[in-house]
Amino acid sequence: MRKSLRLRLLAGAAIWIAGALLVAGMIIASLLRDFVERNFDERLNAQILSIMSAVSFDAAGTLQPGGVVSEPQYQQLYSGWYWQIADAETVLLKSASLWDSDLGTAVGEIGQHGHTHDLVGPRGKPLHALYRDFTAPGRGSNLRVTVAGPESEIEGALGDIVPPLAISLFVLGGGLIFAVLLQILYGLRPLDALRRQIADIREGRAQRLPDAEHVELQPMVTETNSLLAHNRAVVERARNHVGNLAHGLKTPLAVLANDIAGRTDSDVAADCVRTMERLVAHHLRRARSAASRNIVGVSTAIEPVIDDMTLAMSRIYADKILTLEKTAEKGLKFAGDSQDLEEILGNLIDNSCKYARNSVEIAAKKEGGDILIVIDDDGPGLEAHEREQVLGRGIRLDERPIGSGLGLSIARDIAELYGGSLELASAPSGGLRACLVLPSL
Amino acid sequence: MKALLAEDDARLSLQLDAAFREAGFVPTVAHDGVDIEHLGSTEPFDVVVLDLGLPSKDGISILQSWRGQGVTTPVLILTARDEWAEKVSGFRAGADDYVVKPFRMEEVIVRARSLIRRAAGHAKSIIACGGLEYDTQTTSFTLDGLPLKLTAFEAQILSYMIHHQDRAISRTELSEHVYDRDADRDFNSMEVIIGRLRRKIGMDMIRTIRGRGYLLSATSGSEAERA
Repeated sequence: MRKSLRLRLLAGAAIWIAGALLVAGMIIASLLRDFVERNFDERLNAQILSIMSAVSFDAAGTLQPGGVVSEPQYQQLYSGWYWQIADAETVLLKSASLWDSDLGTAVGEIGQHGHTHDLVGPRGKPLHALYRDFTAPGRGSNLRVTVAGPESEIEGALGDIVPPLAISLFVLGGGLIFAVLLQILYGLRPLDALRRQIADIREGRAQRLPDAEHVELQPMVTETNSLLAHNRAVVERARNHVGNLAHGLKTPLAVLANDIAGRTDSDVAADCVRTMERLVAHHLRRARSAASRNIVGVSTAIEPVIDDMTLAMSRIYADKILTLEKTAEKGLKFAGDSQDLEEILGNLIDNSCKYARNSVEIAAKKEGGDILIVIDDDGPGLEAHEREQVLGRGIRLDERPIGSGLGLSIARDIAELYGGSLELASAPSGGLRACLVLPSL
Repeated sequence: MKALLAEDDARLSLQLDAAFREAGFVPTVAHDGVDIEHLGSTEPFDVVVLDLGLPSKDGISILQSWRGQGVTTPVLILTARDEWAEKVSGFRAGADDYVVKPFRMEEVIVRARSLIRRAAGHAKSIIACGGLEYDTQTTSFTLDGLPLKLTAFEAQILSYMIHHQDRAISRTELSEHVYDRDADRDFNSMEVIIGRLRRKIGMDMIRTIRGRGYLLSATSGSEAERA
């Protein structure tokens, strides 16, 4: 499985967003708890103050019950809302709701107040309690007033708030991740564009990459263009070497062949010379075809090549009264090297001119994504089995005999290297028809 | 027929020289590009055999320069490269034909003869002038269907004249095309040979036109004058 840049960016953002939202959620929840508790405490505190202001003492300092007005929940038995006034030993006064139980006894310094923690009320319900210590006038000991409410009240309030909070944070997180995804897709779009431009080069629609719109991509574009230029230079060099080798070998071969031709006992030598000639020609051809397929980003206009060939044929077959007719759609472009196109068309048109009686017709047009070139001559034509033979199908290139038809098999080889094809058929005039299909630009 | 053989390989140029000489040409061999360019534009060759890979100036440039100067001498290109691109660039530069190395001598000579014949405006390989016929490929003459026996030098002169029939050819022109560059051009011996040719092919075929030279023609004198 290949790593994804998008996934990498997305995962990074998701982890960061989830972490931030989790922390934010925790802080908000704790703030909410504080808020709810403070509200609760204020209610309890108000009750304390109202109790403290309501109680009265006689001259002996004895607590006088009555006068304490409390809300209905303090009257209801075991309602969870309780209050009591106690000294260090006994509970002096308590709310009706407490009935026979109490909230415990303890007393501190005057003015001390705070939460009574872990207080469990009747029926085992946890209570949230607040106390305040005071002293009655004329009485020696201190008193503590304690007011308690059900802990579940707080939890209930929080329970109402926290789930919607969690849900909204979760939705926010999802939205952020989606936004990041969009940003990544948009942000990485130039990479897609670059990929298409590189594909254009491979398919021959462009020679080099255009300058990048984005600073970050320019170094890559520059490097790619240098690589392309280097590649072309290497191929060009290889072709030159091959050509030089050809020139180097062919002149001595010509000398040798001519020297031998004058002698009577030269069968072996003549054979060797012919073999050498064939090998040189064969390997040059292979090197050329191999080299040309490595060139990326070349295209060749069809019509000028046909015109060049027409000029060449008019000289080569100057003794024949031949009419070469050309019909070509405008702007046809072959996705390949010009030398290869010249080899294919040169061999085909040469062959047609060689066998034609009076005329050769060349028609080039676009068909689908390809270029179709049909070359008809009015010569004697070929039988079906002869056609296969001259195309050299099933015969290794270096085993094909030199002589007639070799040009057609070369043309077929090159066309097929480009993913095209060459088929032979019968022309309307009875001559040979060559149908060449080549990739178009 | 004078042929300029422009080939830098010493052995190959020797072979070419020998083969052309044997085929009845008057060959001039040159090896250097600049020399060849100069020779081709100053001397009246009937055909040039031009190797493309020459020292100091390449064949295509030489050819372009000749054509630019209006030199119309037919040029046969010798090339080691058999790519069509190479052939096409040769034809574009003004070549008339090409032969790919390694080649057979006979082929070069056959093609050189065809080029000379075509350059003189003859479409077929047999040139006729009245009862006189010349087969350009076998270089043999027949008169009224019978073989004509000529010496090599007579054949050279008559071959040049039949290529350029119906046109007055000066003695200078004739000698330029049949004598070696360095040979003494002896107009008197030329006169003698023309006399011998007249006796062999008929007295009216070759006429002397005062101040202009010799004229080979199948038509009678008065008709030729009118034309």
